[in-house]
Amino acid sequence: MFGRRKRSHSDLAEELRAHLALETDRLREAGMTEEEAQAAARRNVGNKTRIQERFYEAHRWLWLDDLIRDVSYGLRQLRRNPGFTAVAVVTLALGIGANTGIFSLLDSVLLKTLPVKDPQGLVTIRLPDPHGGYNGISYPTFEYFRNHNRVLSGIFASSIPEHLDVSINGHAELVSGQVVSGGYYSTLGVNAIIGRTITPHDDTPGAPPVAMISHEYWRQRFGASPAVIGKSIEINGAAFTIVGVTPPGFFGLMTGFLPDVTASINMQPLLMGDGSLPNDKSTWAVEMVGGRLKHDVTLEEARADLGLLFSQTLQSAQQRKELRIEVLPGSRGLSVLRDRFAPPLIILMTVVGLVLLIACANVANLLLARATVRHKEIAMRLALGASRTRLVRQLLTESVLLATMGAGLGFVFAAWITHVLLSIISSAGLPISIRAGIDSRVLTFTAWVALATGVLFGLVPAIRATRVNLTPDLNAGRGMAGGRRGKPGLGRALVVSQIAGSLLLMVGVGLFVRTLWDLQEVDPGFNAEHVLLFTVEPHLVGYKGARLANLYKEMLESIQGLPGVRSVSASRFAPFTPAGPNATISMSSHAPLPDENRTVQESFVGPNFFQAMGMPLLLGRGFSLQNAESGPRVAVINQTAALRYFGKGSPAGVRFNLSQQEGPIQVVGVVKDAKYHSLREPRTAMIFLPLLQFSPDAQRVTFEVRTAVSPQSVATVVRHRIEAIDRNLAMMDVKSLPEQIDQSLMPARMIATLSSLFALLALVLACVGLYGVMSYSVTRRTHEIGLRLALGAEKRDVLRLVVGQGAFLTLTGAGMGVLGALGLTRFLSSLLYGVKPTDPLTFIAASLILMAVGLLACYVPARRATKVDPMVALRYE
Amino acid sequence: MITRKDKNSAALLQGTLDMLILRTLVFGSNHGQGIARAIEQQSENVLLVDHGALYPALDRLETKGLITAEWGTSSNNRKARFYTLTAKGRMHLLKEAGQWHKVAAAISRVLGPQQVEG
Repeated sequence: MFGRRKRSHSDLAEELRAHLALETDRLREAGMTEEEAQAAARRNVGNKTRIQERFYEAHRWLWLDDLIRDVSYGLRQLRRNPGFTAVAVVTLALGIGANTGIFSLLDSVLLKTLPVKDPQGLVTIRLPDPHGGYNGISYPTFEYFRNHNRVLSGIFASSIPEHLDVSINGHAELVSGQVVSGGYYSTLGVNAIIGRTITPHDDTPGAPPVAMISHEYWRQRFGASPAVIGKSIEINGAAFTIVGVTPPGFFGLMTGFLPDVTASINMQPLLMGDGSLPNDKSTWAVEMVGGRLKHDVTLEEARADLGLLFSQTLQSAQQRKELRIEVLPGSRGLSVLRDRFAPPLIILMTVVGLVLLIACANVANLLLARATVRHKEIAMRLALGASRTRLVRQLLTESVLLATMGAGLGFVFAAWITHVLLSIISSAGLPISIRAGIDSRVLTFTAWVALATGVLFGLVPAIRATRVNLTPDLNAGRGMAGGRRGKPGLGRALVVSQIAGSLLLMVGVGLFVRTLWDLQEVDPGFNAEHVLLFTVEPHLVGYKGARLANLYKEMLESIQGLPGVRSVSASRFAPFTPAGPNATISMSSHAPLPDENRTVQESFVGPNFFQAMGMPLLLGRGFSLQNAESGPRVAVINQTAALRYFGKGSPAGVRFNLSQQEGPIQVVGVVKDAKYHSLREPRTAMIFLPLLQFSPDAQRVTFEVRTAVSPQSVATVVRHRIEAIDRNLAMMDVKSLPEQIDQSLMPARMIATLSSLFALLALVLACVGLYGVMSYSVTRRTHEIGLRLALGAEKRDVLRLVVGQGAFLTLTGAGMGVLGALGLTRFLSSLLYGVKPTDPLTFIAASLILMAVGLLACYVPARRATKVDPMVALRYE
Repeated sequence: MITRKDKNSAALLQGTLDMLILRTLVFGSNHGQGIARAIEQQSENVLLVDHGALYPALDRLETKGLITAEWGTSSNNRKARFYTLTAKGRMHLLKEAGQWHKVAAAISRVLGPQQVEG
């Protein structure tokens, strides 16, 4: 290596001198004269310097040596030109930092596998509801899986983390928590860092309530003190003992959730408030079952085995037909986030990639300009024998150095972006905690990006710079040679592509922002203000058949009487959740045309539904308590249904039939159209049927309470009233209707905000790039401008000259950008709402803004051009 | 002279040069120029030593502990760096030389008797 320098440079030099002297002696003694001997000796021995070089080459890792030399030379160069270095580094920091920030988020939401032992062997088991969403798996079913499966080496049940009330030493706070069965930690292969984990022993009935806490919570709340083991905390009013702390970085199975507290599943009825009875496990349902495949078992085999076991637990053939469990690979964990956020994040990644390219173009231009300044130095080095490759390598090293410094500074920008992103996400009210910090994966990604960026923007300028005609460049002064070389073609091409890229981004932003505005302006068709929503699942506490209907009636009457409540109703499917069942409509008065779409949606709603939701009735009336089982079968239809199926006349009183529902149904009212499942949905024909008549034994019902004051304040009163009816009945999913709607808007908001930020960044970069090119061009043409002025040109002619050039570049760039955008925006159409991908208004606005920016960039160089003094310019060579 | 282009033969010649250097040092310590001269003379000027390759070879041998070096004075009062064979070097030489002879003999057998040159 290069360290083994036992012999110093001078030592070898001296030995070679001695060698030469001895050789000269020998030749002299052989009969030559002194000069002849010396000359002959030098010929024999050869090039002394070459020998020394070979000597050292034999010892070292030449490439490492060169690299170190290049780096130190590069650093010296950069330090000598602080202005250039600063601009380049900041530009790169913005570009690379943006990429780092988005990537760290993308990684933790989409890509990372779970921080558990061997995540590849994990599977998750869930029960999809035929109508969308997921149902819980009953605890007895889980136990059946546990006792009878042949494909899993470990199995556990857990709930999805939600908010719990925790009290420590009398201090109460809201934390995120879940319950797990005894096999959880052993299946995942996770050990407690202090204390012990929850084990199957804690599942036995009567075992004392225990809980584990997360590492983060341990640090924050207990100061990482070992005394936390054995401490008692209260969760939702019950006393638990803390038995262990999980390792740092472990968050369980759900990406994006970090439960602070994990309790044993025995306490599920108490903690989860889902209506299960403490002493009757058959009323318990777990939200997720997970397991680890045995070594030689494939996913398919597991599916078959577990599917069979599941069907054995079902009572009726009907259920066996409809219900199927889902067994999925669990290595990346379960993520509700992934589906929601994957598209926006991927779009954002593309956007920042584009921004980085634009930044690279800027720095490349800077380097090209620098190359003209350094051409003498490079010519000298080439003349002294450096190979072109060697020089290109050295220039590339400088570029990579710049990129590395940019990446380092970029972390600051990345941290800010991540912060903005996370605050948008968390404003949606989900208990998400995405750990999007800087970990080794992110660092590796950034390092690669920095390397690639450095090579990308540095390669062409490096090759250009070394393409040098030695003689003219060494001889000539600054003037003609400096003017003629370095054709501006490449620089201009770069700026044009930057402008094109910026236009593309701005069109994208325009489309996203308008989508967000339009979504926010959508009239949902109902009055969302002051509506409280909550859901109950009485079947979990043993209600069946007629008791359900009575319960619902009692709840409706009772809540109606509460102070602050203006109206209350119920529905089988909550507003803004996935769609309910479809049915086919048929009417005696109207033979169906072929090809006519006779599909409508059904919704089962209680009395006063339309008042509670604020949906205006256009005709007739809504439902009342009279519309129960015994009365005539009635329905309320919406406008779309009326127009589509009931012809021109008034639909009131018309009878129709629905598949799968009994007897002819009579229309008693028409209600204005509304959005039922999402703000984006198209017009739907909806038939509202009285809940108590058509679906009185609905197992899960959502109540809508219109309040006079804020929904939150009424929630507590409602809760007490429900407890008075049945202490075991729990309120679930309590939120206000505006919150529900807002949550659905969050991804759109995220894209709009961030892409605006990045488009602005790109615009600034392009502006700077254009300014640089124009400035350089003016400098180069100073002589020519002076000549023109001297020959009689007016200042405004010069202005026109410069601005004309700038305008040309901008227009070309804009034109290319428009073409590109027309071709590419179609890929966004699934994300857009209310705007076409080729919306002319957006395109025009973006182009105008770009032109304005272009003119701005030209302004200073143009003014500088007009200030040229012809006398000075003419002498300026 | 071994030029840089002869990189293929360089590997073989490297080892051979080492061996020849060790051989010349059997007769006593010598300095760089002396070693080069000795090889040329002994081979009746068939082998010409590349002085550029000589010094890296000497350094290699020194690193491996096969020779030691010291500054001294030459016969005509010039300061020079003298190299001495070590015991380890001696044994290495015996082994390598033996190997070389074996290989050379085998090659000769394959090539057959030398044609009479014109």
